[in-house]
Amino acid sequence: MWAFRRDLLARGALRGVAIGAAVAACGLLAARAFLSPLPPAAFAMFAAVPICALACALFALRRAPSRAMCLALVEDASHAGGLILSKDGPGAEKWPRPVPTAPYVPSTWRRAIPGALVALAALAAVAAAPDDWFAAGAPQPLAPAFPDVTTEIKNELAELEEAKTLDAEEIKALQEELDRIEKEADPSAPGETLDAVDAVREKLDALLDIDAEAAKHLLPENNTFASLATLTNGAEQLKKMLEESSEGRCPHCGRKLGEGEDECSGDCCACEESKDGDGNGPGKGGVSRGRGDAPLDFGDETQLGASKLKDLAEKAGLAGNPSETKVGESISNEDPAKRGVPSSPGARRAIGGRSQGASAGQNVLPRHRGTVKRFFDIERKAP
Amino acid sequence: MTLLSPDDVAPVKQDLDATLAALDRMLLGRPELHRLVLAGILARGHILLEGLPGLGKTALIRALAQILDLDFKRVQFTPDLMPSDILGSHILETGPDGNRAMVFKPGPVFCNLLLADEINRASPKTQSAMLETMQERTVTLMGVTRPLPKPFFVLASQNPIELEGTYPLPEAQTDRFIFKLHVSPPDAPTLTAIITTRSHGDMPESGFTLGKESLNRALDTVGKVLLPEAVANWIGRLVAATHSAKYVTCGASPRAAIAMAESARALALMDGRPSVGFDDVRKVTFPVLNHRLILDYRAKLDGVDARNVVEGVLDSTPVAE
Repeated sequence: MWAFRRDLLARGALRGVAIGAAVAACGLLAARAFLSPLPPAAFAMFAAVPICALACALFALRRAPSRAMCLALVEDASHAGGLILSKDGPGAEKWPRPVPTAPYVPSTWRRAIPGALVALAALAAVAAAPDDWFAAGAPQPLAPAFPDVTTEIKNELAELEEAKTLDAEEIKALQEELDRIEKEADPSAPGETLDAVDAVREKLDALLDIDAEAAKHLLPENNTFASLATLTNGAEQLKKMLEESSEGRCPHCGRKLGEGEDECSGDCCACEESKDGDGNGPGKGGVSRGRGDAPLDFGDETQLGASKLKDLAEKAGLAGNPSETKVGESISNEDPAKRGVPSSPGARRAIGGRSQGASAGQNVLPRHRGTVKRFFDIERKAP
Repeated sequence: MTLLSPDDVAPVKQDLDATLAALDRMLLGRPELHRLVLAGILARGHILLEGLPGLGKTALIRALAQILDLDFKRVQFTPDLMPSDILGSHILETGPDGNRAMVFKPGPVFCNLLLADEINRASPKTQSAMLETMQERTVTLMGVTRPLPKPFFVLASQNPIELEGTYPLPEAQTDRFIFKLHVSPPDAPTLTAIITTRSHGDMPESGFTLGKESLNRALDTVGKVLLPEAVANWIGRLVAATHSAKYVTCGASPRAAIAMAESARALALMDGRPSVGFDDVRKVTFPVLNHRLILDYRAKLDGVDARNVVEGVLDSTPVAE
């Protein structure tokens, strides 16, 4: 009994060691990846190993079967006839104690050793790995955007120098400052270098803003706004002249209208479309046919002389000759003489009862066949 | 509870071994059936024997009555048998003094061992007359309750295939039988032994008589056999598991648990042990449960019988929990 519990305890403890070591290794790995330098408190994660081992051992022991359960299992396995179960009772000493022949239960705690060893090795490897292997401990490389930024500013300065937008002295001063920043750049502190480059960029932007303000002040002196007003006035005068010249003419085709004529009666497309679509006045409805009081014109009657359809006289049907029809008889009717129905009620019952044997010829529905077949199979198998 | 001492168990075991040997000598080829019948008797239960005609059901009961040397009566159950034919009735008689009075004439049920032959041939009315006698071991007629002699056992037989003119036993009555034992046909060597050693199939004399006193001592000793708590717990879980088993409409009653415990005690005593083991319970589980389980229509469609269900219950109920 104790050996069984000891086995459970050992297996639980080893599994706890494996779990604790795995947890500690993962925690330490995460700490070393993100923290540099590693705080000493991080090594407290090693405490997870004994804590988990203890917890798992206790859990395993708690799940162990009770003494009564073990006794019952041994009793059942040894076929002792209740003598093992009653071995502690009064009067049991008079009976020979049966030797339990319970099957040997192999010890399984050794199976948990490899897992625990692997987890411990992983924890040791994470703890002993050099700082260079982790991102937080290795020297930080120069920010990859840094050379691009300085080159970009230098190219811009060169363009400005070519366009003579800025003074050459100012451009030269900025270029010298950029060279100095590149020389004094500290790879371990890329932030400071980028701040210095940003300062140069701000200076350049400030110089360019000053030039833009100067250009704005120059615009009113060129009198550009005054010339625009003149153009606008000219356009309005031209429009007025056009309106005066179009009085008394069709607005669509330009034809001169007569006295009392409101709109054009010509054949231009615009006028025709205007007529169809307006629908004004009686009989002038366009597509919508207006108010519906337009005169209706009826032509001549259609001549049917050339039509292919001719009137034919119908022949006389069965109704015209009733003697040829038979009422109440068809080929589907049975011949009672051939049916063989017994004449007396007793004979009819002998053949098939009141239903005349109708159920004997009735098929079993397909969905019932399996059940019926299985039922009769079972009946046949029964003793 | 104090365990029986070997000195208490040994003489009883000797008697029971002699009884079994006599039964085996009289009826050939069925030692296991004889053990179960004797266990049922020791558990103070009634036994229902089911089997085809001619397999020796009646012969077994007659042999047992002869060995136990008990007051034995036989009733052939027929469709026209009336309750009064079994229990007895009141008859108007004229006494020596000339007075007439209703006098009770006891029926064949007033005995120690009643053979109810082909019990399913009697009508339900007559079968119901057996309910009180089997459970309470009393007969109540015209308001007067009369106890039956002790011990009282009913050993019934029935034929499973002849259904015409029979009335299946109601569940209330089958539940009163501690065992329903299936009598199977004997094998060829047994048949050979029967036809070579028996003239016209007549049974030989028992040569051993247990007697009422020895039987009562054995019955008392059976009650003292220890039923360990773990075994009792398992019996309870087995019976409870029949209620939730597949294919079962109605599970076993508490009578089944009592019957399993008592008959397991009897088997332990027949083995000369003072306590019950799990194997004793396993041996009596099917005879106790097979007639108490009411299976549903799915069992018939799937070809499942009570044996399959009982085996499933035994497999799914661990001895320790």
